[in-house]
Amino acid sequence: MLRVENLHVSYGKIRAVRDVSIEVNRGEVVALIGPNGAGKSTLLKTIAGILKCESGSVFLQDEPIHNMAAAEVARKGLVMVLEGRSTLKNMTVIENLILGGYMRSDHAEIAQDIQRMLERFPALKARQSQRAGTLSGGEQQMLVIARALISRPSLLMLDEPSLGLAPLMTAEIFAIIRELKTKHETTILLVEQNARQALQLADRGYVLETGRIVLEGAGLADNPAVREAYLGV
Amino acid sequence: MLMQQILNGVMLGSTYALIALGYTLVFGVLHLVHLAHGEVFMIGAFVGLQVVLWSGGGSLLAIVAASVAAAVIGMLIYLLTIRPILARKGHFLAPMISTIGIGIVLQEVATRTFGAEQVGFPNRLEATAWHIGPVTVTSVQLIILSVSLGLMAALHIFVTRSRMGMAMRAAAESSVISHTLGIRTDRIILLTFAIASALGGAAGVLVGLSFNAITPYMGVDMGIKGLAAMLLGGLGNIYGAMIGGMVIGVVEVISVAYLASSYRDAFAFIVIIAVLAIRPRGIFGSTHHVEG
Repeated sequence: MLRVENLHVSYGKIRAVRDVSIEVNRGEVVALIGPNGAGKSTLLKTIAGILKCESGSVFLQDEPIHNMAAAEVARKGLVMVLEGRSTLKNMTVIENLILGGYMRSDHAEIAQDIQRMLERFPALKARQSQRAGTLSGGEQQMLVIARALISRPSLLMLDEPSLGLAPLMTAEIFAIIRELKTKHETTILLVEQNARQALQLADRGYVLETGRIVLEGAGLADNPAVREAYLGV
Repeated sequence: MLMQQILNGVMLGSTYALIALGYTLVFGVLHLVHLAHGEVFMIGAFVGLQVVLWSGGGSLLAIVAASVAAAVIGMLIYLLTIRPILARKGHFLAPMISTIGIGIVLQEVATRTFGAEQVGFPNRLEATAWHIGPVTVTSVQLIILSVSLGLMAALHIFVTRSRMGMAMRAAAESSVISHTLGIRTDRIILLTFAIASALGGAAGVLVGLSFNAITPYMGVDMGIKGLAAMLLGGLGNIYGAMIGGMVIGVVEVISVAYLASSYRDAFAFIVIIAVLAIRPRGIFGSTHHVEG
C-alpha cells in the first residue's frame, strides 16, 4: 500500500531523515519507534506532503506522491493525524467532524458516519456544540481520530496519539487503535513514544535512530536491543 | 434626536462594517493587511455608478455589478500582486507593500478613467421618507441598512452552515491541519479574496448612495475607517468587524451632532485609541492562530 524508498529529508544543513525505506501493507498496523529527535515526525510529515523530501520516493498504491501538495496527498486517501491535539480549536466539535468529510461528496453517508462517531465517543456527543478548544486533551485526541476516520482513509498515519495524556486516556486511545485494527481492518502507520504498547499492538515495527532505520521486522518486542533501549527491561 | 442619530450612525457604521469584513477575512487566511482594499471599494462605487448611468437600472443592479467587478479585481490583486511575492518567502512586510502599490495604481487608473472630480449617483430613487415617532427613515437609508445587514447575515450563514465556509475558517485557523483534511487552501484564499472584495464593492455603492459623492480618493479615508473597525473588533474576527464598524459609525455621527463636525474623524479615532488602550486585542479579541 505505502512504499517509501531511500528517502532523505533535511532542515537546512541538518539531515533529519537519511536513506529511509519502509513499507506498509494493506490491513497492517506498523509501528515506528525511536528516541526523541530521531526523525519520526519528520518522516511522517514528509510522507504526508507537509515537508518536502530532498531525494527518494514515496508510493501510495504504486502511485508516486512525493511531489504532491499535502492536501492532494490527503485526497489520495493518506490521512495524517498530527502530533498534539490538532483540533480546529475555534470551531465546534461537530464542525470539526463535518470537515472530516470535506473530501467526500456522499452527504447522506457522511451524516451517518458522524452519527456513528458520536455514538462511539459519548464524550464528544455531550459536547458537540462546544468549541473544540474547550475539550480536555484526551477528548481532543479522540475528536482528531474520529475526524480522520470520517474521511475514510485508505492509510491512517498517527503521530504520537498518546503524547501528554493521562494513563487512563492513553489506554483508551490504544483501545481505539486496536478496535480499528481488528474490527475495521484499517491500515495504520503509528509513531509512538510508548514503545511497549505500540509494539504489542503492531504487526511489525521499525526503529528509527538519528534519521536511519536501525531495526525492523515482526516481534521487535522480543529483540534484546529493543528491550533494553525502549522497553526498559 | 438621539434615536435619529443612532439610526444614522448604524447606517453609516454598517458600510464601515462591510469594508472591515473584507480586511478581516483576508487577514484571517493570510495574516496580511490588504491595503488596496479601500481602492477595491472605490472601484466598486465607480462600476456601480457607470452601470446605473448606462443601463438606467436601479441601485440593486448597481450593487450586484459592483460586487462582481470588485470580486474579479480582488482575485486579480491576489493572483498578480500578492501570491507571487508570498511564494518568494521574503520579508513579511513585502506583500503588504505590494498591496499599497497596487492600491495607488488603481487610484490613478480611476483618476484617468473617471476624472478626479467628485461625481454623484443620479437620484432615481424616490426620496420617500417615513416618520416613525421621532425617527425619520428615507428609502435610501432603508436600502443601505437592509443590503448591508442582509450581506452580513448571508456571510454568517456561509461561514457557519456551508462546508466551504467552514473550510475558510479552518484555513484561517491552521493551514497545516486544513491540508490534512484535504482542504486546498490556495483555492480557499482566492475565494476569500472574492468574497471580501465583493462586500467592499457593495459597500462602495452604498456609500455612493448615502453621500452622493464618489471620487478616486474615497478609498483612502474609508479604507482607514474599515481598518480601524477591524482593529476595534479584533483582528480576523468576523463578528468583531461587524460590531467595530457600527461603533465607529455611531460615535462619528453622534460627535458630529453634539460636538464639532470638523472633528468627526478625530473624535472617532480618539475613541478607537482609547478602546485599544484598554483592550489591545480589540473588543472581541483576535482569533488565535494555532499551527499544528
